Amino acid sequence: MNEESSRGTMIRGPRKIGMIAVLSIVGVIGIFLIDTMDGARTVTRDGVAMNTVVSVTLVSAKPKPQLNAILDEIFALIGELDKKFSMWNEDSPLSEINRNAGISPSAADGDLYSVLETARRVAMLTDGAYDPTIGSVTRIWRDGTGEGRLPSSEDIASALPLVGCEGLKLTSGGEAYLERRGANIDLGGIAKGYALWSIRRLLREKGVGSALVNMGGDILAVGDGDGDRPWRIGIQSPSKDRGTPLCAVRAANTSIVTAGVYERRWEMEGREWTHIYDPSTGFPIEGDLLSATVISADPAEGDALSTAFMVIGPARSLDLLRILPGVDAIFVLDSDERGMEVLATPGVRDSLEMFDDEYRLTFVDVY
Amino acid sequence: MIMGTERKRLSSTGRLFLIPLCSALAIVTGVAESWFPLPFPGMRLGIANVFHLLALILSGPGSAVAVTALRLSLSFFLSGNVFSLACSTAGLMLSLPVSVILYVRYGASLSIPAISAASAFAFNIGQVAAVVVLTGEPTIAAYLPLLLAAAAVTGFAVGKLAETLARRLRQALFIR
Amino acid sequence: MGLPPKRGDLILYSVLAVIFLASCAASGLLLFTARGGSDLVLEAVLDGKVVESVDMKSLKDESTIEIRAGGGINVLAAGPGGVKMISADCRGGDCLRMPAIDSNGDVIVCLPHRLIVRVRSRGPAKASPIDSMTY
Repeated sequence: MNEESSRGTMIRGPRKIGMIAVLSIVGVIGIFLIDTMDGARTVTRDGVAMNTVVSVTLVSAKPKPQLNAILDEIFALIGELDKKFSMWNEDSPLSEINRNAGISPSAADGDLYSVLETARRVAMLTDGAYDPTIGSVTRIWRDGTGEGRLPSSEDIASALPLVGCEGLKLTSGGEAYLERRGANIDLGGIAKGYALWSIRRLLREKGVGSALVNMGGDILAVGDGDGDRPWRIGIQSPSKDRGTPLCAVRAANTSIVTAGVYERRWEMEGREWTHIYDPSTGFPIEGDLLSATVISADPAEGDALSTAFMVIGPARSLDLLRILPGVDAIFVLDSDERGMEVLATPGVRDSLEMFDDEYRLTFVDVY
Repeated sequence: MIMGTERKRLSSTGRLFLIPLCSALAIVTGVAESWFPLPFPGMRLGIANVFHLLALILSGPGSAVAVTALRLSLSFFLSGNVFSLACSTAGLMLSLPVSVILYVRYGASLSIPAISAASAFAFNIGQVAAVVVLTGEPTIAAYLPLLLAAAAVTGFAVGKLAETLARRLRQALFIR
Repeated sequence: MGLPPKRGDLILYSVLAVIFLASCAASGLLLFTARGGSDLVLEAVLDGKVVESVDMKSLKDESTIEIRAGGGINVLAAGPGGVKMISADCRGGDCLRMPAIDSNGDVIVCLPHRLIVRVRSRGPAKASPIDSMTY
């Protein structure tokens, strides 16, 4: 009797301990799994949107399905803005404003109104070097090259008087009106920047504190970077293959937008043309400035400014930067007299890193 | 009992006392030895394993598993480091069966230091496997021979220590 | 002091020695291949999803890959300078003029077909100093 009961405990004892052991191991593994779900993860999605390559990277502790849903929303948002802002889509609200130029005001919803306001502000600021009403000029060049010819000087002369932001009226009732008949708004120089601005707002709403968005080379850096490291953004070398950086800057909570003429050049009638038009001449820009990169808090403003800087060149741009606190710029030039050089504002002195010794780096004091 | 030797096991009351004590000592020595600087990350002296072995020798496989489980869960709550927990879990998942099986099946023909060295080997293999899986960087495995060489030495020393401790304790507790 | 070694110890130590030597050999091999190989994958991405994934090392010269995307067909070919788009029935054909790709982060894009072809490093923790490029 005694013998039996003692044998009973002998068997039960280790079993109980075994049970406890197994349960606690399961518990530890459970805690471990829950914890990994809570740890920050990085999700990236590449896609084509707004006629360009878009790459979105989110770093967040949120569950993966939620992050994928946010990525869906971001791409949907870009698609929606593309529909609203496209000059070439006849059904877009922008096309309606263009059609009704000189006839009547048209409704401009929140996004369209907001982007037009920013565009007009930068146009005023840059004295028309960036101008959203460049549309009449871009249309003439596109129509001409579509038929395999350059536009005639008469065409350009007739399109030029239609360019000018003083002809764009925005009413407090949310309407936009182009006063001059035939005038056209082209948001090409600001749409991507505005999309980045909207994405940043969306990410804030969703509580994503760290993200990197690249929209066809225009970059939005949200948060301090990936983990302990700040985001590092390379600036394309004008003479090397795509993806080869000339230099890099560290970025935290900022936008970095580049306008350049080294890549999308096209040839007609024996010479090369760029795709950035000078609103004062109606011709594609020429000059030694290969690219202008703008680092600023507002990506829409940065986008428009980078185009303006390409038009007016580094000297006048640096003058303008004096009255733009918080905006930094990096210019890449190649001139016969001075050779290859990089001009940068002092704001990036600590974060700029050169990779190419062929370029001479100069910081220009704008303060 | 399938034991090859005539060593006696602890009573269930003794076990009730031994398991928490060994776990507590293992945790404390584990934390203490993590302060001890060693030339390579991931390299440990493994003194904490003395208490796993002690539980195994004095009280059997069930107790050794219990000590391991308690140590793992409690040190996670203490440190909260998921990565190192995952690595040591993987290590112990391998080293525990190795030591238990060697001790229970071949205990008669194997000495404790040898079992301990084998267990330390298994621990490092499991640990490195976990690091490779978690970081997705297979080249880290190249580091294994270095860890194994260290494990052979520390494993043997730890086994020697556990063996001596077990003998003394058994005398002190009059288990014989 | 201490108990003497037992009969089986020698066997166990030999087993451990064999494991150790095996790990040395494996580690040597690993370090050797890690130096030589680059672990690059060619990926075709459509609407954010990887539709095709090929090991760059498995691509011999002149081997081609056909990808159906966005209602058309794009054909990629491997060559000495990397992978290039050699045929595409999209309008424009900008992708045909893009340079060959061969290193981590390189891309070829076919906008009309919404197709991105990129080279990616397989390891997630590639210590690239650059997170993104502005152009």
